[in-house]
Amino acid sequence: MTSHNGSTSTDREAAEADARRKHLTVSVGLVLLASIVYVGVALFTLPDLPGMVATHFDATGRADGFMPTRPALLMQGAFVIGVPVALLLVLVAGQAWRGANARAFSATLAGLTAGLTTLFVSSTVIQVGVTDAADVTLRGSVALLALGVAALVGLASALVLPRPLPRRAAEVVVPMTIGPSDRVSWFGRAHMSQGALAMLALSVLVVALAAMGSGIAWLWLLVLLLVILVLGMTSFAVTIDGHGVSWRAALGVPRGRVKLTDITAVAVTEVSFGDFGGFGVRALPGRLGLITRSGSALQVTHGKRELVITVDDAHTAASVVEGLRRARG
Amino acid sequence: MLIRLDTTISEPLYAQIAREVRRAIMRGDVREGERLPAARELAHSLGVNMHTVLRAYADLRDAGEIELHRGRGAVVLARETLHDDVEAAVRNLLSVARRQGVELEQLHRALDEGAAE
Repeated sequence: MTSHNGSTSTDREAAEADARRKHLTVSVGLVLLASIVYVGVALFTLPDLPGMVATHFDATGRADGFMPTRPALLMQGAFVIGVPVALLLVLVAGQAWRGANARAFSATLAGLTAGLTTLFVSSTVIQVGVTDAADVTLRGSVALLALGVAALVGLASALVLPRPLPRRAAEVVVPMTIGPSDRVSWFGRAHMSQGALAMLALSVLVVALAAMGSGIAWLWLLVLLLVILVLGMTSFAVTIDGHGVSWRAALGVPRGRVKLTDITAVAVTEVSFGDFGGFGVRALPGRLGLITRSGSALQVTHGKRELVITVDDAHTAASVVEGLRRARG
Repeated sequence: MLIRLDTTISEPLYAQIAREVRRAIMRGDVREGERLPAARELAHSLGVNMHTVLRAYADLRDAGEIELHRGRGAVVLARETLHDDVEAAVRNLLSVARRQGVELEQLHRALDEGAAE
């Protein structure tokens, strides 16, 4: 049994390393390639571009926004390279290759990168040799071409990338011994690390400063929304007792409960942000996650649904749930 | 924090709750400055009367282990540490009592009587 478990966990690690390598190769490779193509085209066409280039086109494709050429190329470059790089960072930080949506994420990243590059390379190339950028029109076919390239590259990446990893086998739970005359309550919390909270607080502060600096009133609404989101999504109180497993966010809502009598299985499982596509209250088909960190989490199965909570000391929590279940018989 | 009551033993429920909370504090499951579950919540969870929990909390407050605030509930206070010699004597006393089969309640009584002399 032990050797069997040992080999499955090694298999799992190997599969994970393989998925990681493939996802990173495709994503980093495409972002690098796109950067090289864009920078190459920009440098190569610069001598033949007009002093002012069209940077914006109206619905009919006529140029209606202009910028001096060098800043325009730099800004477009920052966009063409910056957006995919930001997504790439999300991929790496969230270890998205481990999740159920890994392929969709990487394929979207690949398609977006290819599409953006095609669009901006095309809009640059059509202005080569033009004396007045106002004469330039961006045909609808160019936008279609960009979309087509995006779809093709996205699909091709999805074909190359490995299937989503099978879910990790849950650990066996040792039930707490609970007698028929015992009453047991367990109170725990699922919360984010202080570092992660500090990052969130910082981002709220940035928006608040932007609201103050810009005087744009609706930005305050955004600040309020962010504060509510942070309070509602970063800390959960969890109670396990004869009634079942109840949880609620720091604000009191959202909240929920799985009745003890509805619980069909209890386990401790390893989760990463990628498994649920982020943190907070994450709803996947048949699976609800209260995710505040990666690592071991309590997993409660009720019927065909699962509740996963990254509660502190998931092992004790699971053993209490299992003990209560057995005491009830 | 785990609270576990046995409804068949003679020790009253409020005393059991106080003992369990104290144990949770000792083990570091709840730390200084952290809030205990609201009395109403804990009572509902354990299926006991709210006054039973309030009595346990009042005892813990009187022992200087928690603070009770209106609206903020029960907050764990810093644990007063005993002198090393006293800690060692307590451990020693407990092990002797265990060997002799002396109940904790008897020991408490003996300590109270000793202090009254």
